[in-house]
Amino acid sequence: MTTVIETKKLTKYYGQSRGIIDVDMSVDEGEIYGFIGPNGAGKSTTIRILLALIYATGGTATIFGKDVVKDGPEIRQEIGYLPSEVFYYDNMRVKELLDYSASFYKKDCSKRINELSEIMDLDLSKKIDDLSYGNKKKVGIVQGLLHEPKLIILDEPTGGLDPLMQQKFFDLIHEENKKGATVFLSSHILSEVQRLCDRVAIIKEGKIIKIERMSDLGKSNYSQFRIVANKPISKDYFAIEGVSELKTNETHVSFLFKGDLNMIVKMISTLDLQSLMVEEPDLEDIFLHYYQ
Amino acid sequence: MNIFRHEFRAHRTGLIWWSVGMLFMVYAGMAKYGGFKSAGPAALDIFKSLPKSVLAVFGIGNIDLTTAIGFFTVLFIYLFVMAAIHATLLGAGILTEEELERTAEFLYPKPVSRVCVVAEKALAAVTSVIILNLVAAVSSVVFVAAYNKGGPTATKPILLMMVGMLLAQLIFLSIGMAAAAVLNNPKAAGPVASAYMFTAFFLKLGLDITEKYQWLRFLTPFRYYDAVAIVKASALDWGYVAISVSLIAVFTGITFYFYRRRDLYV
Repeated sequence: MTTVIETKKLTKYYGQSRGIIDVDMSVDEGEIYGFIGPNGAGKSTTIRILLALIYATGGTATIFGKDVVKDGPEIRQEIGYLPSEVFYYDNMRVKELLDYSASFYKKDCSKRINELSEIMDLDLSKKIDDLSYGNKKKVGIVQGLLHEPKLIILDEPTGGLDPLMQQKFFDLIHEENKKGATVFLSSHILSEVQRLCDRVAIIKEGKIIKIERMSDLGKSNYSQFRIVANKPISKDYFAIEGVSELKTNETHVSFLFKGDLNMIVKMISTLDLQSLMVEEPDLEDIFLHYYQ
Repeated sequence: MNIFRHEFRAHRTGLIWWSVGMLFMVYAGMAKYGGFKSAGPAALDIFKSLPKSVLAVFGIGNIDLTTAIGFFTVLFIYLFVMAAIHATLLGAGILTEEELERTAEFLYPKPVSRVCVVAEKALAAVTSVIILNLVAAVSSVVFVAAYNKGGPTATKPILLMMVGMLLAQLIFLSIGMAAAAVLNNPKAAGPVASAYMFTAFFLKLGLDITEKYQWLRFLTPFRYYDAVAIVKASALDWGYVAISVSLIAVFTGITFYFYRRRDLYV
């Protein structure tokens, strides 16, 4: 399998302050790769180094096997980028901006501009200045995809889009992915990543703390228990090995459990139950683990 | 050349207003000459009674103000300052605008090198500077000729002054761009370059007043192309032309060198 993005010990300091430290990543061709972490963890810094907007202070980064700085202009022929906050030339009309954007690429993009604008329901004749933020974001999506890039980089893409547009946008990304595009998506919204991604890298304070297949991350062997009993349950009843996140409030108990299920079911069977729920913890819960 | 076209279009409206301002300055200045001339020798006596330092502050050199070209030498310094302000702000602005307006994340992820961006932006800026210079040149020649009844011919010295002004404009433009390339904070480029430009202007005034510290004249492009000297010699000082070309080359080199290497402010 071909590697599209590869970083080795990628490091960036802004003077004394930390950007990212020793980021090692490898994104394969055709996958949707999630990059997740809270604000300020270094997601945008990484992306901006990949696009040569800023330069790394250490380590290397390659895209399509080429150096992101030295061969930047060449590799960017095949990259589409949607920044987290979109700003365009206020005096231009949408059509003019998209044509300007298309003029940088070696192919005719006019047909794709019309298709994408149709899908995203974008009025080409409007002035940028008169657009709402959500509509500017749509302009961003179209300008990022109009040249049918092989690599799509999205930095917190859904902010400002209503749920319907988010859905259309995700469908669009899925479609591009099916056609062979690799997608690199940064986000702090788990459900977004959960919906789209094949693999995910979790970044915390500038360092990658975990890279996992989405499917493995879901199968973490943790089970989320929610119990309501008819009589109050003592606080330490479930305080055994394998239980975490234990919350007891009179008759209500919830906890995460990893271990021998038979044992915990036996313990529960001695209670006078009103309701019992056992489910897979969502990514949010797992994610919190990494951040403790 | 798409960036060039985009930039030129983006700065077109501004250039039109600068050109209108330039045209108005020349027109209003030479209209004053009409009034001044009709007042006759009395007006001239007033100037003769003033000390040299006061005259220098108003840009009045050792020349007969009753001739159209003599009067124009006074007007020229104001045109010069205007063109210098335009060039300085344009130079600093054209390289920092993408960062300040936050469109950098649109432009620079495109398949384009920093060198190419700087080159096309510089070309657009040079075009604007030349157009403003042409507006100043044509309007000066036309309005001076209109008031120049029987006086010495003024077209050649005016054109020489304008060539000098163009070289100085290009110096200020390249200084503005170099400031934008070297300084990490794009907000600082405009103020830093403007601060130099105004300092250079006041240095020129100072050097006109005093005989001392004349070696400082190399620091101010305003002094390279002194209108009275150009009229008297009917030529440019080739030494200053050479200095101008060297400065433009050096600051352009600095611009390309540093702009390739610095982090964009995004």
